[in-house]
Amino acid sequence: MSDIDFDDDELAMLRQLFRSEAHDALEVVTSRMLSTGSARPSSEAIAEMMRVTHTIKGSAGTVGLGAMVDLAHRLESAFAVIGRDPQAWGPLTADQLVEVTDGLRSYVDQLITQPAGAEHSAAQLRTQIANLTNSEPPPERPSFARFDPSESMVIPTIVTAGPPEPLTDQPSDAVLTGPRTITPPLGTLTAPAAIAETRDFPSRGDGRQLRVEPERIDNLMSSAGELLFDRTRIERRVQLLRTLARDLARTRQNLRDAIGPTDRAGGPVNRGLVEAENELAGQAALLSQTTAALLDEIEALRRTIGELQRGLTRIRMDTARNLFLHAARTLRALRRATGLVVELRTLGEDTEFDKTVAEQLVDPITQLLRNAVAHGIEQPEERAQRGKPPTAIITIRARQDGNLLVLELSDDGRGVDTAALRDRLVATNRWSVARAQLATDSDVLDALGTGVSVRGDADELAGRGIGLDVVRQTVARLGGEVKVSSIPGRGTTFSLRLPLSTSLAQAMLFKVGGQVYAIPAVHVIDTTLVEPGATSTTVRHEQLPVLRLEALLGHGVTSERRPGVVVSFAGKGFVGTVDKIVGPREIIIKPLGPLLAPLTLYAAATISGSGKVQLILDPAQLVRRAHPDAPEALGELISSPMVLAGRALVIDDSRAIREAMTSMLGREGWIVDVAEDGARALQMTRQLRYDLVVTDLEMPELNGFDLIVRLRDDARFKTTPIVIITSRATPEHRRRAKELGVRALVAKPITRRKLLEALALR
Amino acid sequence: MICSLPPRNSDADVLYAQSVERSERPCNGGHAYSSTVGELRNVIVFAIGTARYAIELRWIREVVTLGFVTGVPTAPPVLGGLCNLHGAILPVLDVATLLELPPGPPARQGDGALVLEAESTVCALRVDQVDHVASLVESEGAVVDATGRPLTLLDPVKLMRRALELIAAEPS
Repeated sequence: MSDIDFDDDELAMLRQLFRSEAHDALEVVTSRMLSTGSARPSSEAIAEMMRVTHTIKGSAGTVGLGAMVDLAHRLESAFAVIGRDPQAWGPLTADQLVEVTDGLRSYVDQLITQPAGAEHSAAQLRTQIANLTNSEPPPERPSFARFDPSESMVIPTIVTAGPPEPLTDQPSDAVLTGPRTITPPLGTLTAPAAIAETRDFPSRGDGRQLRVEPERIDNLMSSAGELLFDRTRIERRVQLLRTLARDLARTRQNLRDAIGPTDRAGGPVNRGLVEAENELAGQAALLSQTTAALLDEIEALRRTIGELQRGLTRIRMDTARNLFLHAARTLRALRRATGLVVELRTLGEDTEFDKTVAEQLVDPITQLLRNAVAHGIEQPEERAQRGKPPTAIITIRARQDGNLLVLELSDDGRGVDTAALRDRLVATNRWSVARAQLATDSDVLDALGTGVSVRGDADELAGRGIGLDVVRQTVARLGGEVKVSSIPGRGTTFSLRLPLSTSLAQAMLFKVGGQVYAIPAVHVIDTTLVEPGATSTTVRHEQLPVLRLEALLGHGVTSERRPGVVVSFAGKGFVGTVDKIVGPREIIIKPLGPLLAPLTLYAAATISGSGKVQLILDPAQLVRRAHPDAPEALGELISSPMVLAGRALVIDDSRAIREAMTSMLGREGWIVDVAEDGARALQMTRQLRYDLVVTDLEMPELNGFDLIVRLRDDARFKTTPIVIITSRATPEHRRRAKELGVRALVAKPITRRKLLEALALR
Repeated sequence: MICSLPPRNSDADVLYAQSVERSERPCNGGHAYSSTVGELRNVIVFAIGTARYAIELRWIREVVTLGFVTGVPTAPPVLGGLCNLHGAILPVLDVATLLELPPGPPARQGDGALVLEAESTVCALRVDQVDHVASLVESEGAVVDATGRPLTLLDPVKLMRRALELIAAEPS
């Protein structure tokens, strides 16, 4: 299928779309099976399952997944056999079918995410599919009759093969209007995720769920994070306005005092001044009121952004179950390594928290388990001596406490020997003897995980005191804290308290003058090297000014070649010189508060793993400093990378095309509405005016040309740019398009470049 | 410990007296601020260099040892840096600069600080030593503590406004 002319991005996107459509289609089969039990489904049901399988086959071909075409074809043939011959249905067939569709679902995922090694699964699926109709002689050729390999090639970009089978009947579209049960895609906890998926499966029933790529949610989250920056910028300006309003009021008071009561009553010389003073009073009051109102509105904005983030966060919520599954596996491995008899108890597995938090907690939990096994739990003989049961117990409890997630990991081991820890703190010169004497046990326990360990020796499990450092750092980075409590002889409890969710953003970190700074990664396009003394440099064929960040941040300019971050904001770029590039990191954005509001250079701050505050520079300010001679308007630009192009209507009966166009046009700043056929499009154009119409030609109900004729009859659409996308760009079509004043006729498959060229035509 | 408080009509900028009526934050048991002479007010007494100061306890959120102090280049001397306080960003202010005295030593990790909240802003004041918590009574004359040593009673609302002015005045 190498003749498909998609660029990589498009192909990847279309494959994702195929994956989603295939999942939906397979869900139809599964839910049929679940509703009919082991009985043979009705002929209609079989026909439907056959039809959706056929759809998968066509789509798979379009997106160049030949192996999937083969499997779908085999399954379709099996359905054909089942449909023809009632004897072919056995008591186990329903279960087998569920297995097959289940397997196909995973196979599609595998094929798209890691195609290497998928062949093994394919072989297994082939056997399973063959087994479906085992009682029958192998399918005869005639059952292949519906399969025409060229079918899916006729109109390469249409995912639904052959004559369009309306997608609207399928759950794929129904999900959009159905109950809003949103199941987040399973994250990086791969193994537990797989377990959870199989476990969830029966309850998913009719499959009314919206599948979303995790990246999309991430993008939304990061946009919401950007909103925070934007809000901070606005708020800062308004705070300045407020100061200005106060100053103005003061000036006015001074003026009033200067005029004095006698002048006020008196002569013509000062009348103008008195009037001006009165006017100034009114203006100052108005400014003050407006500023106050603005602050209220910013407050409302803050609430809305908060809601948006909470809403997005809920989509990303994960339960503690996955984390517990991970803990169980880790403990199993530790048990094997140490021979200790340890049992895991978990509480609160339904506690919900942000998937990001859950992912970040995997390492700390592993570390704490290692720690418990290495330091906490005694050998069986020792336990026997102390009169403890031979089986040690580690308990992990998750619970929500207000806005915090509390994770407690306790063992029933020997507890922390605070006296030994004191000694080690002194022995390693971390603490003075006096401090060690004065410190309470709880102070000493707090020192755990700051590079000190109870055990003098380090083994492969734990003992270097570094493991707990990792725990503390990770939790601190997430904005939380770790508390340790211990009862000698009875056990130790680590409790992690951290926010249920975090506002994470990507940032580029770098060092200047010994401190680490960050710039939001969306505005950092590259890194480079800058020659000493250079005031501009060329990056990607573009001459950019050099901004000496070390000078801006109060340090001397050195005469060495320096690394630079290439920043672009609101269409202007510059290269900022730094001491050292630390690299891209995921950071948590913290507001700076009103005191720092006047310092416009800083947008916000973040906290490093070791608990240090790091400043986030505001790219808007930097750009303004790098282009001091640019018109003042630049400074007024809000961080909006996109100019709104207008509202576009895309009409195509293929969902894949609609999605592809929405994405391409969206990137160019268009607000995109879609319609699946001409009739629906016509309805939409009656309600809204569009600045651009992009339509397919072959469509059910009302075809493309008929639609255009009707549109041109409407005064509002007489001159609206119209672009035709078609797989049949015949001369006849071109002539007709020209007659109707169509701006361009683009042959499918559509690429971004072709589309942009068409849009650029005048 | 009982200290004496100056009369209400003191006009010294940083002194406490006039701010009571203006305070935007309701105090615990407002009746304690009735005009009855002889009332008690709890203050925290601390030292910066050789000077001794007091701030009413209700403004103080906590007394902390500063963690790593991140410098803020381009900020005026009044802003000593930023610290991480339970995951939030805490600006550290230099009291001496606020009082228009020669600036104190830069805030560093391990310094003591009072975390106070006023004007819906939280900040820290770097201090050299926290002496004690005391009760002040109003009387004629200057603020002195039980041993008769002079104290300067600071008004956090005014301090905060002053800090904001100083920072806003910095061209950035």
